[in-house]
Amino acid sequence: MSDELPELLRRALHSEADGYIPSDDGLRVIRKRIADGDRGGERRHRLVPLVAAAAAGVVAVGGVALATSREPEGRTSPAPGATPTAEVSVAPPVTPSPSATTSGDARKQSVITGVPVYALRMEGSEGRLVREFREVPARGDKATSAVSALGLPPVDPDYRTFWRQPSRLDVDVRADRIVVDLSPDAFADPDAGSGTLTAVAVQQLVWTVTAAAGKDLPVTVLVDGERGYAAWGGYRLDRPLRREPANRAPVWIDTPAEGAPLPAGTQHVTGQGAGFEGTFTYRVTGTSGQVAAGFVTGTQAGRSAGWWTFDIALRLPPGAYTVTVVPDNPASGDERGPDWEDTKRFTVR
Amino acid sequence: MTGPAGTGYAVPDDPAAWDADIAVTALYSAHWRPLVRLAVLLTGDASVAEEIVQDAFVALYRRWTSLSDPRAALAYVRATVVNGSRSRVRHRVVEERHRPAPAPEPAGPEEVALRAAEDALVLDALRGLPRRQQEVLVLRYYADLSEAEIAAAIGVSRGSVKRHASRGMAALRERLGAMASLGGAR
Repeated sequence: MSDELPELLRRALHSEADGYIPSDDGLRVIRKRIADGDRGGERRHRLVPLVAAAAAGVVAVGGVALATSREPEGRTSPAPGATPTAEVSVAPPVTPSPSATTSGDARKQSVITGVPVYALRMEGSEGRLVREFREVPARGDKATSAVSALGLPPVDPDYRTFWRQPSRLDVDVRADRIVVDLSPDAFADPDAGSGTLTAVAVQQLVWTVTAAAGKDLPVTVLVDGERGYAAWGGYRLDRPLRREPANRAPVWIDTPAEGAPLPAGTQHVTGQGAGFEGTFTYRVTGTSGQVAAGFVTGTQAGRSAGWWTFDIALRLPPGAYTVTVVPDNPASGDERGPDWEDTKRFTVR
Repeated sequence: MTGPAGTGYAVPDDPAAWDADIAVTALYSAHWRPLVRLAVLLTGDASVAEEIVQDAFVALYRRWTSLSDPRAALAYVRATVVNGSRSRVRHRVVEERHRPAPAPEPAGPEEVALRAAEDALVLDALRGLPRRQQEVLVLRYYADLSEAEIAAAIGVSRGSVKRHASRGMAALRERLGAMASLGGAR
């Protein structure tokens, strides 16, 4: 590996930083701070020795306030930046942030793109995990931002979440575990009920934070620093949690994201699931009915038996479409369970 | 004064002809994003990165008339960002200095996340290096700066930059080798 290292380092740094998109608001804020007589980095720089010397003057106190008054300070270990986007053959599309679509060009808030956030797909009263790569508001590092985004509506209208954005949130990725400490307002949605669905909703957090951290570690969830909280009055958070593969929906589409545009020429629909022997059937409908249908055989995803990654190649003319993917299910009768599928609307330019 | 960068007035090509306002506007439109990303890497915290870079621009404005060479404006802003990032992580570093080595690659059921896991290992190993070495490696391998530019950004000699770079890379190799994650275990 003698000279793989520079390349590895370069790639790791870019994958960590390039998904981060600063707000477009910076120049306005800078100008306002200048107009307000703010002294910027200069001032803070000079204050450091004063503070360090514990000079208790008014100026130093001001400096301390400046340095500590910010939001849920991640004691998060510096973001271990894996983008789990890497294994997807098509880069996850940037999903439009609500502010970008509704309020024109100026984005007031910085965002991180390509962040995996799990949501629920419901079939009757049953809920299972589905994944979206989303553009999420930056809140601390990537793992913290991803957990916070659990409380935002999923992009796909077929998905839902019972999480609310916690007013206080701290995600600490340690060597042997991940500790998530949040405020109880995260569990304020009464629609979660207090039954088995609450366990699946907790798994949403486990899958999301481990994916965003790029580490499959046990997750300890604390509420106001305490262990043992009953999430939504149901599932008790009294022990470290691991990913439970049985909670995944039997299929989800990773790309295109809901509503996303695909290029002319060849389009790829990619995703994962538990189709029998890796088989998934699909159909694509346009404005005047079905335009394509067939089946695809996936390749095994990682070390996980019975879990597959699929890639459906299509050649569609410009227009608006809906794709539906259904995992093969040979079971019948009571063993069959609900029929799961995933659908995405997309356009071809 | 409130329009986005690039609207309003034309920016003269030569920095020597800039006033403080133009300097801030011109440098902002060309360098805001990369500088914020640099601060994200240097602090590991996206929520403070923008403020650190804003600080640097405000400081540039205040210092504009005393800047000996206007062409060095970008170098000045960059150095302020590196410095601001350093003071921001200082208190955190103390508690994390002796973090144990990261766990081995996740046996994640989710992905063939080799690449992602590898990136995470490399970044973890990087975070474990002494601060100067981290800064030099980030400026070199992310920002693609020359030795002279790195020296200016972190306020050390070019010789020190060389030394930090080679020690940093050697230490990274050692840490990653110890985790047997590169080359071998895939």
